[in-house]
Amino acid sequence: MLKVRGLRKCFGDRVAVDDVSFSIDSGEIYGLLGPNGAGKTTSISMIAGILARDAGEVTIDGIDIDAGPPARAVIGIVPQSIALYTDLTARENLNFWGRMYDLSGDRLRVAAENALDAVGLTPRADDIASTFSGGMQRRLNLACGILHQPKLLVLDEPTVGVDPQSRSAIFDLVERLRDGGTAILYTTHYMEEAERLCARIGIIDAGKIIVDGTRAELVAGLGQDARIEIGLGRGEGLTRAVSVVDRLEGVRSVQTLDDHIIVFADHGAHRLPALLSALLNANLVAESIRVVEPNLEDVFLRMTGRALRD
Amino acid sequence: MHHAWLICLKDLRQRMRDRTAIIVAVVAPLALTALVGMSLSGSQGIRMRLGIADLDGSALSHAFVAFVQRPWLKGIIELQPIPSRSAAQAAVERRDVDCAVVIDQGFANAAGDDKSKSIEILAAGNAQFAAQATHALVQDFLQRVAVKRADQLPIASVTPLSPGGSLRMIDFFAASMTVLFLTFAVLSGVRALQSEVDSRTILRLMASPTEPTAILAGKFAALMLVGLTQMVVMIAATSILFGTKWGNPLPVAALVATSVLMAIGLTAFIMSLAKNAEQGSALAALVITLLSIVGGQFLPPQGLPDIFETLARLTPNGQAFYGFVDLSAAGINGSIATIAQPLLFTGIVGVAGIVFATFRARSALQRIS
Repeated sequence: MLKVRGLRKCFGDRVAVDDVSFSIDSGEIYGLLGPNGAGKTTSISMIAGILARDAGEVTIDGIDIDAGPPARAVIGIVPQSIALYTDLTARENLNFWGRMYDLSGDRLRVAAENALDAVGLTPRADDIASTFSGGMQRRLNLACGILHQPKLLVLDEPTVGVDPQSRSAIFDLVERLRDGGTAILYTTHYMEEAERLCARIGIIDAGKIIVDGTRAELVAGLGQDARIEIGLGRGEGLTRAVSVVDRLEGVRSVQTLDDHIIVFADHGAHRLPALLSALLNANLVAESIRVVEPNLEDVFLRMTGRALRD
Repeated sequence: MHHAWLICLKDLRQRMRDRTAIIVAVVAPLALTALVGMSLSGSQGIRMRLGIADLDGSALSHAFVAFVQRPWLKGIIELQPIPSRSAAQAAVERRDVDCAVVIDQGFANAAGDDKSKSIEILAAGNAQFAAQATHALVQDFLQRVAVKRADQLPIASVTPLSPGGSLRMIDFFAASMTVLFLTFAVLSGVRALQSEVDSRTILRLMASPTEPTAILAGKFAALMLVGLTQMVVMIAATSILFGTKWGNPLPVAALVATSVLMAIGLTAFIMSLAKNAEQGSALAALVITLLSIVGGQFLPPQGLPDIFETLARLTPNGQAFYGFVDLSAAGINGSIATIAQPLLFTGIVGVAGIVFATFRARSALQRIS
């Protein structure tokens, strides 16, 4: 449904997106996972035809995005910010956006009712959007994007700042849309969302997709590594601990995170006694120890040396 | 163009829902016109008590008396015959008259040669408007009868009355408040457009199957309709409520169109310099108020030094305002030629502002995409 090849965008000397390529099939959710400023929004702006690209190709259902309105007609976009007319009612917002996608008459009325129902806003349909809570506005934001039943739905961090109830409702809706055959591009910097929703995930940092695949493939790429978190308290002890641990056999990498050191090591649990012994010999006392199954956060940490939230 | 129409309708619906905008567009200017206009001069218009001491008693001096008694000056100039120069001076000092004209004995016979014979204008120090108006009348008369004495008159500065009609104080404020609040009314629309950029709904519009030209056309049409509606309502309301004569409808309509264009261009230009809608609104309110002061929209030009009118005509709002004043004063004789300069000036400012703001908007959209 969506094919992206060699997408590139520069702002002056700064390369915001560099050689981004991926594809999404119908009924598939593809996640772009990366920290703020990684190039997620710039990428989807180019994919949605909002932002001119410097290089690369984007086709949606076989239509080049440069075709303009015919290509944009099959995309639904849900921006990261709440892009609503807050002085209009929920229904008026939906009617306006429906008409912009050439819906009218009964088709528009039914589509608006369905979208309101899908996001649980039917009882508030005729209320002014500015009277809605943040979570309700987010849901209406989503409804405006799915109203015309797009073949490709682009969701840019759709759960930022929402309450758990609205977040859960959004997840359910996204899964229903996927089951209905919609191809979904989902950007987030929340690892849990990517793990729950996305069949395939591209991890993006500094404008590049550094690795992509299914969750299982990405985690398997870490080999037999386990992540060991050792709490040492703040201070110069962290730096010393890194240099002590880094020399040990089987340790692949060591990073600091807050008042912890994060150690990736072959067969991590088996390395633990040697690790603690080395720290003790250096007069460093572990305040807490945790051995964690690898996840997408670890993949990102291993690939970039930074945490997703950095 | 279907999408442009949809965008225009949506914007108009939003404007209609904004009660503050309606108050700013119609209620406030009407109320201020009534209050300020009435308090300054009621509905009496400009009136002047003119004393004439005709010591010459010639056909030429009689002709001057008849000149100031022409029908269209009736109700504006109240004529009082005075027997002597000393009586004229006393009448001015007692404020029995605003101004007095003394025509020396032998003036007609000596016209052109004897520099000791002249028409003298006496006015109190605080009656500059009356003095200037009288000076203009005398000068006009002498030029009409081809007497080469105009350059010897004792008062230098002249504020000529507009030809063809009279301008009441309330008419002046009807024009000034209409132009002033037109800018504020359009500002609310431009502010909404900036809000659309701030809230990113503009990105959603750009992602829809709509051509960028249709988005621009829809937005522009809505702003034009808001401005035109405000102007038409104000012109109709002041005509009905205050009896304001706006002049020949065709040139008035042309000036209304370019004034709305000017207001859009001016406010869009200011808004494009700001970081967001709030900052833009504050900046625009400040600039509009300053321009309105310089543009002469708070004080009638009569009685003020000429430099004020010169400065006023350097501002786009001043151009629009004086255009309407000139059309009102010219009555039905007003034409496109009467307001050629304001039409051109306001049109150019409008187009330039819109073009500049469009370029800035493109950069802003690149940043937020």
